[in-house]
Parts: sequence; C-alpha cells; structure tokens
Amino acid sequence: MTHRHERTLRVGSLARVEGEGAMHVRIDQHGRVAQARLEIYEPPRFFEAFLRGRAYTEAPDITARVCGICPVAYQMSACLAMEDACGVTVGGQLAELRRLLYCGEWIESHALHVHLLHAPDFLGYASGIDMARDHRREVERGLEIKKIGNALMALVGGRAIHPVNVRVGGFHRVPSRSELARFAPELRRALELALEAVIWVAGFTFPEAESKHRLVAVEQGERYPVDGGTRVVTDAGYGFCVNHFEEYVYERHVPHSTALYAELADGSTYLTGPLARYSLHSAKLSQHAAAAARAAGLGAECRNPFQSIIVRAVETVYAIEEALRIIEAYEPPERPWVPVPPRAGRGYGVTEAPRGLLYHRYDIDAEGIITQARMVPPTAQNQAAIEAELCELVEARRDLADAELTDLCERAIRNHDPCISCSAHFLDLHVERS
Amino acid sequence: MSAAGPPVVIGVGEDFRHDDGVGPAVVAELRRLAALDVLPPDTRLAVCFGEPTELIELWRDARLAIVVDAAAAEADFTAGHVVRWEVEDADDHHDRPAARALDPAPTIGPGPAATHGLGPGAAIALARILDRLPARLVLVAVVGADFSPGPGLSEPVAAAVRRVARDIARELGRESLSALSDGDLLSWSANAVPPMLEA
Repeated sequence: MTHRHERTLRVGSLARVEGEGAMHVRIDQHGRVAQARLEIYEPPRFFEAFLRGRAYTEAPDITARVCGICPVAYQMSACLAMEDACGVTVGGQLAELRRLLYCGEWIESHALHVHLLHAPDFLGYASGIDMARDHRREVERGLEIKKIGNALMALVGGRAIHPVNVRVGGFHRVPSRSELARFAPELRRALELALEAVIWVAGFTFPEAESKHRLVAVEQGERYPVDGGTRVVTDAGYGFCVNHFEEYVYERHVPHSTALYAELADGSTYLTGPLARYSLHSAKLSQHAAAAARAAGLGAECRNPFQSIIVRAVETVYAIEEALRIIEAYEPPERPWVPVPPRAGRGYGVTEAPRGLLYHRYDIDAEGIITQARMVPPTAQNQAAIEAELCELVEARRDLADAELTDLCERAIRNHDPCISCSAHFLDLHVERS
Repeated sequence: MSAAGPPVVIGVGEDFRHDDGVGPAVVAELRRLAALDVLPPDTRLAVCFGEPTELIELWRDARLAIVVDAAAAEADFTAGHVVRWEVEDADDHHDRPAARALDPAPTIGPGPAATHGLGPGAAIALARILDRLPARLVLVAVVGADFSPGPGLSEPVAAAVRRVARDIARELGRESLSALSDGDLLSWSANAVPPMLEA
C-alpha cells in the first residue's frame, strides 16, 4: 500500500508448478523492487554426478528420472549427445518415431498446464479443482487430451512415465504400422479438442506485458523445433552450433538457488520455451496450428508471457498434427536401432522440452564410460528472466495491495510453466514494504 | 461411485528418491505374487509418478483401487510404519493423525514431492467433482526416512514392502471373492488363501 515504505512479498511454496520453489520480492523505501528471487532447489545436479562412471548406453534411462513430466526430453537430448560423441546420426523412420514420442510428451504436458494449472489464473480460481466445479467440460477436455498424449507415449515409449523403450541408436522395439494406424482416430479426436482449447484460451483477458528478454530456441531445419537440431538461434539475429552452446550461454551460482543462473555471453537474460519457439519459428507451424494461431489473434511473434497459454494450446495442435503426419507416413524401419559403437569423445544434444531448450553434453572414454556430464534444463535458463519480469511487474503495479500483487507474481511465474523438479513447486510469496 | 471394473493397485513414487520408491516396490512384489497366480486374475497393477490426472485415469471405473505411496514421517510414526484408510475419510483427513502421515513425501528442501504440488488428496477432490472415483478407494502410506535422490529403500521401509504387498493381496482376495459368482468361486478358491504369502 502507498502509505507503507517497504514491503516484502513472499510465497513459500509455489502452487501449480512442477517442483520445489519459493518467491521473495522486497520493495524498498523508494518504492523500487530491491530484490526479486525465485528460489529453486534443483535435483539434476546430482544426476550429473550419478552419470559419471556409468555406461553411455545408460544415460537415456538415468536422465529420464530427472523429471516425471518431461522424461522424453531428457532421453532424447541424452541420445543425441551420445550419438554425436560416437559419430552416429539416427535418421529416417527411427528419427520420426523419436519425434512422435516427443509429440506425446508435448501433448500431455501442455494439456495439463493449459487446462488445470494455468487456466485457473485467468478465470479467477485458486486451483484446477476449484475451476472444475464450474468448468467441468473444459477440465474433462484437458484430461482427455492429456490421456491421448500419455497413450501415445506408452505406445511408442513403452510407458507414459519414464519410457523404457528408448535406447541410444533408436528403440528396443518399434511399433508396427497397424499399431500406429489404430491410434490415428484417437489423435483426430484430440485435434478437435485441442482446436477447441485454442479458441477457449484466446477468449481470456490478458494483462499488458511484453518480455524484453532475448529469445532462444533450437533450430530444426524447416520444421518447428521439437526433437533436436544442430543449431540454436536467437532473436538477436545470430545463432550458434550446439557444440558452441557453452561459449554463448554462461551459467553461474547464486546463493538463493540450487539451479544455476544462465545468461547469454553478452550478459543478457533470455527466455526459452513456447514464447521463444513461437516467435522464432511460427512460420513453420502446420496448417491447423497456424490457422488456430491466427484465429486466436497471435501475430508472427508473441512476447506477452501471459499469452503463453495460447501458444501452448497452439503447440498442442501442432504436436497432434505432427503425430498424425508421422503415423500416416510411417514405414517400420528394418531394425529398431542403429549400432552406436563407443569411442572416446565429447557429444552434444539439444531438444525442445515442453518448457524449452534442454542441453546435454557428455564426455565418454573409449569403452563408453561417462567421464563428464552436463545438463542445462529450461527452467534454470529462464530463472533470471522470470526474476526480471517479477521486478518489472511489481514496479509497474506497486500500489496494488499485497494479496493482489502476490497473486499477479505467482501468475507471472506460472506463465513459464517452470519445472522446478528439473531446476523449483509451490510459491510462498512474501512482499516486504517499509 | 458405481464403478465395477477390475481392481487396480497403483504404486506412486519415484524409485530414484530412495524411500519415495516404496509404492513401485510394493507393486513389483505384487507382480511377483501375480506370477505365482495368487492375485485375482483381473487385478491391474500400475505405477505412476503421482500426477493427479494420471491417478484419476488409472483408478476410474475400478471397483477397488488401492494406492500405495510413501509418506513423510511425523513424530507419531517411525520409518516403515504403515497407515491405511479409505477415501470416505478423505474429506476430513487433515484432521486425522493417521491421515496426516499421508502428506506427500518431501523432496529436497521444503514442500511436497508430488508433481505440481498436488498429492492424492487433490486427485481425490478432482475425481469426486468429475465423478471419477472408483467404487472403493483405499490409500496405503508407508512412512519413509530418506527421500534424497538415489536408488534403494531404507532398511525399515524395505522390510515393510513384503508385509504391505501381502496385506494388499489378501484385501484383493477378499474383494474378489465377494465379486465372484458361485461357479467362479469354486474355480478360484484353491488359490484364495495363498500359503506362500505366509512365508
């Protein structure tokens, strides 16, 4: 309130995000935001240590355990990195199957976030459960889309959580054409539901906001980036090969977070995830997804983080269309995997997890034993930008009462669907004012 | 609650977080028992990470669902202690000392490990609104000691796995018997009280 000089907003446990996190905002006596912290406790650093001394073939299964929401992202980045280290490229239908599996993860993750975690913010509910009482149809739609995404993951990956069918070089088993064809009607049903969801979220009221951070996403040729790529591109007009990632992206420790802060080499903060993917690659969307984006009022770019819910809904349409395309063209490969004999070297892999770019780098010895591992998850990359957005948000609305401001800050964090298991869960927001 | 589908046992947890893996471990033990034909043949066994919508999908339509999860230890309970209750009690579970033990297991730092901050309680509340509760829902919590990253259960929790699986097998057997016709009952009764469970 204006009669106070200093305030602290603190949310000790963030709701409707994945993992463990808290938020702390302090407003000084001049009304400026003196500090905005998204506090994160991040397990993946332990995984990097677990990986040392393990066989290169184990990385996809071990790294899948980093996160129950985006295990495919970890598996795919790990596979690409190991294959890169061994000088093998997996192409053809095996690569298409990987993309199909990844589409399943996008569908289930985005459907959950759009319908149960993010939509309550726009409709004035404290939770998806509260929202379900008045919006049962929409919640059921979200669950149905998510179920289809999970089923796709189980079909290709062996199971929906921590898929077991992925291996370096491809899969342990590939589905038959008829197995995939039988799933197409489910996907067509999901497509209808996903298009409905785009129109639904496009009707929400969005606070005015514009992200000024750099945008960073994987580039995957002429395709909307999902399951890999050899380059990373930015909205600053430059890009770099994945093996130069660590020359362009620096990570540093900060006292309040077990996640590492990432920033670009020029010191600028950046965002990865739906806003970045869409703004850098919207021209590559599929027919229905592009039409849905236009119908929802999106231009070629989207920089309002609150509208990320529209982008996720559009990306859900894209992932379903893409899955249908892959299934229609599918011819089972001769072998479920290609041989990837080990050799000493370093390999890099980047893919687009639902929340953004996921980078892996491994060193292996001649026997294929992992000697070094590094993973840079999307939420860690977004953390500095999220904190900066909190500062801007609070400064622009500092006359709001603590409860309103706290609510808005939590929404600002959920805009980015942070995966705190990969990098922070509940937000306990405290505003300090004096 | 008019669901009449096969019973399901759902092990919730992450076996890379030590005792959080007790749910999947119990399901693994039940799979071993199923291979010995000592579970009712239509029993479904599943593991999941605890994400509420997945839980709901797994238990909807079941005439009996048993959810096994790890629980954070409270002063009243030591590691390996088992708490069981039925969903009818769920509305007021936070007022019940036994049920409070079923608060989700902590991850590193404060707060629950369940994804998106929603544990079984949220899944039950959402399922109730959407009419997706099973006919009977039993929650079994095993109090854990160590939820740090890494494989393997602590000794007291590992010791509880077989006991919990045995109790669940008996509960499934009782439920199955009550659902069988007379003819089915005769064909199944030979395995209804499996002696190996006593070993």
